[in-house]
Amino acid sequence: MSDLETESGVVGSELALVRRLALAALEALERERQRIDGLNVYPVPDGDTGMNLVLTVRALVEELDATASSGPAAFRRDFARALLMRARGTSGVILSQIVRGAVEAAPVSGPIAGRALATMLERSRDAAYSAVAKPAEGTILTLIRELADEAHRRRRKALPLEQRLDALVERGEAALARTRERNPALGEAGVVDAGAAGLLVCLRAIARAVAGEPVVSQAPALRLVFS
Amino acid sequence: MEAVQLQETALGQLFISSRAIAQVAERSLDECYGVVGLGRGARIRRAFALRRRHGVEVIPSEQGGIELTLAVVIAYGLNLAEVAATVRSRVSYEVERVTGLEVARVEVRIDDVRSRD
Repeated sequence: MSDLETESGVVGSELALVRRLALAALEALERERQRIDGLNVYPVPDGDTGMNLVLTVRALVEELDATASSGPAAFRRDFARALLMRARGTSGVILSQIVRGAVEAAPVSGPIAGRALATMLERSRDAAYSAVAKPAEGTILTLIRELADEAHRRRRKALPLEQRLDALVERGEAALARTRERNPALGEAGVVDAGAAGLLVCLRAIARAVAGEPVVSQAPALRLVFS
Repeated sequence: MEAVQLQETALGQLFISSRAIAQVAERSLDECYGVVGLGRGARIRRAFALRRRHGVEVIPSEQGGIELTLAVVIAYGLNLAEVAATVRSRVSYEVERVTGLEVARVEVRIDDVRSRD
């Protein structure tokens, strides 16, 4: 049983849990930043996707720290504002839409079961797709769509959250590999999509944290957060 | 004259129409994250504009390149400054890649902010 399934609706402990998951994602992104930067050939080959994702998720963690003691209403408001104001780059802006959708659809308290997880990811997908006129294939958008599909497909199966997340990671890996074929710019450069790779790094880190695997912390920027 | 000179060789000159440049810009705008529509050309009309096309204005720059003015509608709930910055870098990259012209300046004008549909 993971924390997500056993915790009660106490706001403080849920915030602590959300923070722990966000921190796991941040640490994983910081470890893989250079690899993600190196994949960045689309839409503009400026090699900053990894950094933009790190800055965006770091802002979320800082916001979680700053609002940890306030009530749930203030938290939701401040968190939404941080998502809006501190997203960086295209992938950061899309990631913030994904997080916002999931947070809005998350159950107020109690376990995150199959249906709830599917609803959260579907809201993430809808929020991400709602802000672009012509969505490009083989991007972070494709990845969140496939993750939402997978969560929806398994929503009625009785599975512990860890296994559900593992299945999502597996589907995400297959979808990430396919971005190369779906986007000609990526195919030409022989890489997978940087933004999609970054989203998968976050998802994998969250899956591990939920499964209770220890989070390795080496990034200097995190000392502040831990102290 | 609605064209910008790309090359001058002994055999003659090569021009690209500002309409073609605007088309390239417009296509990349459609795929820019955060852009849900193009602004009205009329609002950004300038006497010396070469061509207006669905919110894209192409003006020859004094230094030899071109200047673009993009009028866009951005999705409600996004960071406007961040979206404008990514629009600027994406469109200038794409126009430079396709035409070979230097994009000296890109002005982004947010005409409206709204939800898609």
